[in-house]
Amino acid sequence: MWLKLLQDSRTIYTVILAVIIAPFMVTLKLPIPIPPPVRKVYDAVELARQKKQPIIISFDFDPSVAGECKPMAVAMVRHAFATKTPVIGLTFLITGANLAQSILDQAAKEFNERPGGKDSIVYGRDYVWLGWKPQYVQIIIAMGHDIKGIFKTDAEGKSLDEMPIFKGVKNFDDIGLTTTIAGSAIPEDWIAYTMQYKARLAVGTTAVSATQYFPYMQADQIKGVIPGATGAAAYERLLVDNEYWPTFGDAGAMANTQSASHIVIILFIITGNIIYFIRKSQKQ
Amino acid sequence: MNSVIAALSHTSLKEVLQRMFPKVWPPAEISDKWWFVLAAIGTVAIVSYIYRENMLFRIAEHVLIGVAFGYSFTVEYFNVGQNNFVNPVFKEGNLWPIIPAILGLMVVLRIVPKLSWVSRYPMAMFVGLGMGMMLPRYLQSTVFAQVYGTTRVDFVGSISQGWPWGILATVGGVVLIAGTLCALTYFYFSMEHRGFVGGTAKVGIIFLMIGFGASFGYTVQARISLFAARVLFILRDWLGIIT
Repeated sequence: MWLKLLQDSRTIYTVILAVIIAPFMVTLKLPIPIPPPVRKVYDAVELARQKKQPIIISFDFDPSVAGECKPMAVAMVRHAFATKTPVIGLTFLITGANLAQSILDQAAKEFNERPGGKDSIVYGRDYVWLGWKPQYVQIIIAMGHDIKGIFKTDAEGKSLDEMPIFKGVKNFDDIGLTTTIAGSAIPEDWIAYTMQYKARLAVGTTAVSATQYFPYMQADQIKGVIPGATGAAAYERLLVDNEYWPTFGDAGAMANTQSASHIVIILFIITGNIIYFIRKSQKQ
Repeated sequence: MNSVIAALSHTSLKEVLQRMFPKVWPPAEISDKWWFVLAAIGTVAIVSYIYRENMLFRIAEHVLIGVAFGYSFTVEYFNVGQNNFVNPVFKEGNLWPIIPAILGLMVVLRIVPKLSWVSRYPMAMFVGLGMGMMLPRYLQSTVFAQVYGTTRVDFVGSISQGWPWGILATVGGVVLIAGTLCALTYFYFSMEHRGFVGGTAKVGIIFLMIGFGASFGYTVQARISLFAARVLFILRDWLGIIT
């Protein structure tokens, strides 16, 4: 009977659900390590700050992968705002446009509502939202020549020429770091089409796609990778450790859940293999 | 499954409705808490599929597809159709956008059986343009740069750093080159996999399995993350059980 119960997928789902919920209820402080690829993205933003150059964040994800990509996007925007590094936001995914804009606006609101932080983050000076544009390959190539030439206005139709954030910005040469946060293959196109411009590129991606981008980092084609929610949690830890932001975000809240559920899945795999060998020996 | 769950977040549905009906939506009496309720119902409806397929799941699935299409169509129209065609042609008198519009219409003619041949001309242009742009850049980024990245291991520099990191980096470099060569040998089919070639290919399989294992681990992590994010939404944003 136990064997039959273990083989029912609903048993597995129930256990996983319990293991995901339980860590949210108890105060556990499991360590959050900082992988070198995440540290490199963080350092690249710091370098942009030192050079006083804006960063581009391409929010190339939609609600379907927001659970993984949104925490890293929020962490990066907070890092940039805390260090007064201007952020140029855009997206190449139509269903992600409003989500991305809300991340920028929400982060700006948080900073402006902090004690003594009124008007610390100003639209047009500290960040801009360029919105969504179709046919992103052509857009990336055109950005390599002239960013204002291809976008001309922000998402609301305001001229980019009038915005302080674009003062002295022509193309990727004037951008401290370009980050694409995506749950699809869009970063591959960013890498391929910005190579000729020698753009400083970083990738934030879902964990499923993470292994795909490590070779690009090895070959120095990208500066770093934020892999999934654990990567986002590591980035949040860097912000907390360096006192840029007081608390962990959603990824930090999910870190314990991740660890607990991974242990259970490892146990499932071991149990599954034991059952397999028991059955095999019984047949023989 | 998880992507469907997450896509039913209150943010997207609320914003779609605002975008589609900016003057009348949202009605004043609908407060934010109802968006959370709607999103939570959607999440539960989709997750109910785990138990078995049911009517609630079907309804949620159809709502999602309808909302996604409506949202995409609206944003496409305002961002592309209006900005790139309607406004330039009808408001500014610029007739150049008519040419790409005609090419676009030619593609649509694919749905008319007798005129479907017309669509081949713009398609030929798209394919040619795409290949021309893609081939050299992808060769550069995925082949040449990767080969360079694999072979430029600085053995002398690493060894000079001494134990432990220098030596470990050197070993890592050797493993990287050996692993790449062995894995490539596994996919080399012009020689029978026997003797030295067979042995190398078998080592290649081990490296490939390690790679697949890493990918599988990350996949598990990804799925758990997406589901955990929805659980966090239900417990914190909707029910307020945790802070």
